[in-house]
Amino acid sequence: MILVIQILVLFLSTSCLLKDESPIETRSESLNLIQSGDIIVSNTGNDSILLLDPDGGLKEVLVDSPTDATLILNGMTYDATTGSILYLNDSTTATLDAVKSISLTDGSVSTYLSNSNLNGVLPGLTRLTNGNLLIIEGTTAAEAFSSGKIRQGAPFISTLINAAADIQALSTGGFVVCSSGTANTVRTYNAAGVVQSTATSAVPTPSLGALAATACIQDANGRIIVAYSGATDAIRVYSSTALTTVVWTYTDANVLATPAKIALRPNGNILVVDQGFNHIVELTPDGTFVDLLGGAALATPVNLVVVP
Amino acid sequence: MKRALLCLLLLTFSSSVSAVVYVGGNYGIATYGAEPLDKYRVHPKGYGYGGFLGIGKDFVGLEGFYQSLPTKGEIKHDGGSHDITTNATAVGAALRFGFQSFYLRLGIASYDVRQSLSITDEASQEAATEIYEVQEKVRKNGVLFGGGLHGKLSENFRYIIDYSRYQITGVGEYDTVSVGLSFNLPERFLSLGKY
Repeated sequence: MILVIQILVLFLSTSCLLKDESPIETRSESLNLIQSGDIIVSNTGNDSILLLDPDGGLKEVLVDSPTDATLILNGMTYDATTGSILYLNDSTTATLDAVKSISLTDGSVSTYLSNSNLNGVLPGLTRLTNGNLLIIEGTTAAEAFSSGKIRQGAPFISTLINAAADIQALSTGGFVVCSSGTANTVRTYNAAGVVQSTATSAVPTPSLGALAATACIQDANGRIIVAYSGATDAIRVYSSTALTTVVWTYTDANVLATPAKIALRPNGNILVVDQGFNHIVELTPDGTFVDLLGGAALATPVNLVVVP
Repeated sequence: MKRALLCLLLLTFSSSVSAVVYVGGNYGIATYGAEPLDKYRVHPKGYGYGGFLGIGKDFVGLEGFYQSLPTKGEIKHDGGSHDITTNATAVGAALRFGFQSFYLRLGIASYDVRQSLSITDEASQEAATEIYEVQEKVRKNGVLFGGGLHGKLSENFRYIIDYSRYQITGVGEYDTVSVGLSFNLPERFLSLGKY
């Protein structure tokens, strides 16, 4: 009889507790689901893209792919040309590789670009000021597509950088690339695809040792912000695209263990997703810690975008 | 499958062992799940009761049942929290296969589904009704299956600890965990087996 009662209690407990999660906020379409300042995060842990409010609260699941070890959602960017979020649907099945678009009006997802040359690993994409969409292809090359989706070059750059991890447009028309290799980890290019400058985590000083760069982005002041990961995990800011002077370096192993991509808030604050802690670290433009965001909603986050 | 089930019933109820009429009731927790609700992590729950009347012979019972499935959950829509009610009642027939300390149950049911959502703003109400696919008043068919533990309390009384899944075709499903009692009606009340 005691055994029977124990089983009953177990049944009741699991029934009550297992699904005790907070509901996700839904919105009527007329209220504009995605708003300025919202944060969009891609998760590789559950193959999803989530919409968070500016405080990091979960608003909506925008993309919910069946969990598939072969799908990676590394590349994501805000695209002013289409007024949407573009992300790379990077699958080991080459025919499924595509650039997809998330509407900022209602969150609906559609295929923006599908091209047989996008068949390798696709870690990043960005829209250059000349209108070309630049996509890292196979970690070493860059494919470019015009705003009319016409392929430029064959490819645009064949030896971009070794083990490319991120690519972001520069205000001057070029772009910055970073690498998960440990040599020449950050490079800036002009719009024609010619290398302008190079840095590693060791040079210029102060040296961080040999680290991989997982993300790089230019802020409104023309500075280059880079996330480094390895023996030390750090966010480092260079004063300009010349990459010759370090302005500051932020490290704190208690909150930043495996930094992935970076995004910038309208007020200049820096957001970094951390895959180890499954949260977003917010820093001020001068490198002061502000807050942790995202919390329980994130599952191995890899990229994020702040809606302008 | 249907023929095998019919043969099993005929063999059971035509054997020399006399049939037993039983009646019972249950009370317990119910949780409701459906795709549009699961997507937004809404999990209504509540407490419901049920009853059954059946005839059994050997280890097989054929019973009619009624089950109330009142559940309620919280949704977050357009910046506010609201309740979604996902009630249903089930009326149907089931086969109960009883063994020494446990039983299994399988049946079909007709479900009276009454779901509702009340948001003051008309546009929000309309949008949420669509998002959560609220079924206001519909009658649907479905199945149920489950099982549990049972044991004798006295010569005619049995306790029952039951888990059942009530599945409504095209709508959703209820999981219930309940406790109940069953009573075997003595032959002096019903002279079954004497005809």
